[in-house]
Amino acid sequence: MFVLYDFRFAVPLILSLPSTVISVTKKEPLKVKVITVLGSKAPALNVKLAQALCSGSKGSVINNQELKFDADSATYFLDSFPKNFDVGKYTFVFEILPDELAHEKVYITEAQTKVPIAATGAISIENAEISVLDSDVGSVESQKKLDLTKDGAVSLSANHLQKLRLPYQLTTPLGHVFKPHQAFIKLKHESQVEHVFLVKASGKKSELVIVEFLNVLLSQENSLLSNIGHIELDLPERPEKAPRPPLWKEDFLGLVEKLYYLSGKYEIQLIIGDASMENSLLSNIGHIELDLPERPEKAPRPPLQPTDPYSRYGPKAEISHIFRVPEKLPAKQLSLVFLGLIVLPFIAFLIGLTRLGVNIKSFPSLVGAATSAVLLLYVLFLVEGKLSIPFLILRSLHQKI
Amino acid sequence: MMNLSRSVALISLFLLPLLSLSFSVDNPTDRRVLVLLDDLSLKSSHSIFFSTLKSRGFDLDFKLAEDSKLALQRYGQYLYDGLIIFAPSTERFGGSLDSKAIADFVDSGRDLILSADTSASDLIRGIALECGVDFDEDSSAMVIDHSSFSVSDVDGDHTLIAADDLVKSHAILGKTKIEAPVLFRGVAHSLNPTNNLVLKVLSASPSAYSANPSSKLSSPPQLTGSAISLVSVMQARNNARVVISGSLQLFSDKLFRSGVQKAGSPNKYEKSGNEQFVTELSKWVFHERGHLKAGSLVHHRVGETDEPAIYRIKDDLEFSVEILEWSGKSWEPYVADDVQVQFYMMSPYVLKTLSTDKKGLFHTSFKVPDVYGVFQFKVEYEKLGYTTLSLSKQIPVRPYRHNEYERFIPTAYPYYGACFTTMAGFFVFSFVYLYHK
Repeated sequence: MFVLYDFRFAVPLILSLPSTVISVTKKEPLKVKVITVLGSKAPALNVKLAQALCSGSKGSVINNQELKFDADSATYFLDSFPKNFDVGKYTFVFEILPDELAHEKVYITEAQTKVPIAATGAISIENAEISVLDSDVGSVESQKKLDLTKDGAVSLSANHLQKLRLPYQLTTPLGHVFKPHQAFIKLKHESQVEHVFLVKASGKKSELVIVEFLNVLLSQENSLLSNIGHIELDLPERPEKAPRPPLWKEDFLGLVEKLYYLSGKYEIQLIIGDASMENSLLSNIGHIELDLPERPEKAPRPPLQPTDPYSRYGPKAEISHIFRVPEKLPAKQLSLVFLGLIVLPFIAFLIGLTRLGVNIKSFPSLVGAATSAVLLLYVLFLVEGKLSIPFLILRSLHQKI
Repeated sequence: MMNLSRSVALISLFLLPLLSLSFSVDNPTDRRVLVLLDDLSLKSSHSIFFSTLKSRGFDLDFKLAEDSKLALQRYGQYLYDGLIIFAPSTERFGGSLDSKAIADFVDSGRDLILSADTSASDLIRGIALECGVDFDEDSSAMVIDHSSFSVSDVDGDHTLIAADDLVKSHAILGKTKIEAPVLFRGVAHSLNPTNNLVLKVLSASPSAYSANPSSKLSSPPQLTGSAISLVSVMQARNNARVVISGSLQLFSDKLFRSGVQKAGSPNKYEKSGNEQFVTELSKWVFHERGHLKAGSLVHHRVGETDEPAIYRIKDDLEFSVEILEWSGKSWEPYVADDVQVQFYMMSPYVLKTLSTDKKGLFHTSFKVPDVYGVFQFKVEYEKLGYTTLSLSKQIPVRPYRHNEYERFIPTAYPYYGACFTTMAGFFVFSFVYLYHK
């Protein structure tokens, strides 16, 4: 059993935080626990938050703030943050001093304990719009306000000569401009080919402008977008009569080429997210019908998309053989009629014979018997009377040969 | 001394057959598994996973990935049936192991579990590429998801993902639904779209992306959305199974035990789905489930029992095949309603779904087509998560013999009539001529 009340060694104190994520929106207090190395209670201490350094800016947001002690839970807490404590990543620097001077020799602590803290909050997204602009003039062809909380049924159409513009504003709970880590716009074609664009933010507004357009310089001059971020891409294909800009770059990757010349319906998705954002969103804004020029011979083909595994493995459709339909033969009645017609002469012959008055005298001679036997055999063979004795005899003779 | 060595020799003679136990056709579950670690502390930080494997009867052999005595084969025989590589940062394996040796190991029909992590080395990426899995080229990238992360008090950068987009397959993930999301922290990978043997088992949500969490994005990330796979599997054509995971922590005790609450969802789970997910996946990989075996194809004419050497067109025949499923301990009859047989010559002439008697026997009957030639009965069964069955049996089909046609053609009655009346007329005439007075 350890007894650490040995004044030769000072007992180290450990500062820990049960939670390093603080929500600015929910106004959660910052909680700190101090215990000795072996887990027993620390004496009365003065815990101070010396500095709160934000990762982006210089200077500390909080200076020398003393934490209050809650005896029930034995934690020190800070429940009020200054007005300029915004979302983001901070490094909090704590200092611990024992209350009673006597304890100073008994307990030791680090001079300053640095703890990384993430401050999160709900970011508000306002003034989101989507519009299709005509490139030359900058006039708006269609414009719609977006409600990013609902999956929109926005339906637009554009061709390769127009621009797509999507401005929005992000503000932190304290009203500052917020630049998220993830701000994507995804265009997904019906054939599952996807394209991701980054929204670059600068200044007050974040904006995505997709220029599907021939002339780079023209769009650069044309930007009313001087302090707003945009993506500008340009096409290598030009119709003959278009004016040549002075700075033509043949090796520019055109947006149309990037889209693999696939015209059709594209679904637009806006994804905004950040580690400090409590309400990251993925919003299906709607569709846009893009009308792009024809693919030239050498353009790259869209990448292969993986097939759905469930459809790959299912049972195949059943095949049953369709038997050959026998040829259509004339009706049986017809052949019976002709049979009758053929038999008629024979009957006429018999009638003629009786008319002539035939009479049969002596009975079968050898010739007659032989002839009739041959005929009988022939008839039996034709009718397939396999059980007739002469037939059987003949068959056995034949087999022996 | 002599007695002792003699008795040892005798005992080892008896033990030799036991030593050669491994998986076989009759018992497809793997037995001996080599576990390669790059840090022996993984034995304790992943102890629950290893102890569940041991309790199911696997013989685990732990070795450091750089151990110079590593060998998968000795004298041409494989020493292990399965391989688990939990060594994401190893640049070179020790001993005789390299990525080609591992590819040969899988080619011989043996199974592999490969896990990468945030510092995946080129060796691990190369092995994964052989199996059709492309890890993100950026070595500092992790999967980040701001809408589908696990709410936690200590992790504020949304790299611990709570994923619940699982593949729908009873064979791979078992019959019980995994309720709680699976926790994942690691690298993203995508599947090669031309490879139809790989499959995503755990996919990321549409808002996920793969990037370095501590630096701003300068260009759109390569891997985004549901194209990111977190855990994938591959079943090779020889039915060897491979599991590739982007996170080593997925298998760790810490994530097995931790509770999970997905961001934006009110459900809070006491225990994450990791343990159930990993256990079910390991059962599939080591062939405890989803392994099929088929008996030979039996066919005969309706009413007979013997298999004829040749069929005639338009014969009625009956076909049957027996399929068994390995349950982990014994062969059980396989029950399914999508096994099909093809009667095939260059292309299937007849394709029928077999009906089962629930005791493993699948049967059907059909009429032989009126095309003659050499046909094959083909059973090519591919189901998600099950081994592929590819059976065939050749049988010729002949046309009618000359005496199998109908004897008299109704249309030709006039001709028959003509023939017989001629004969009859001749008979009568000769009779009359001879005997008339």
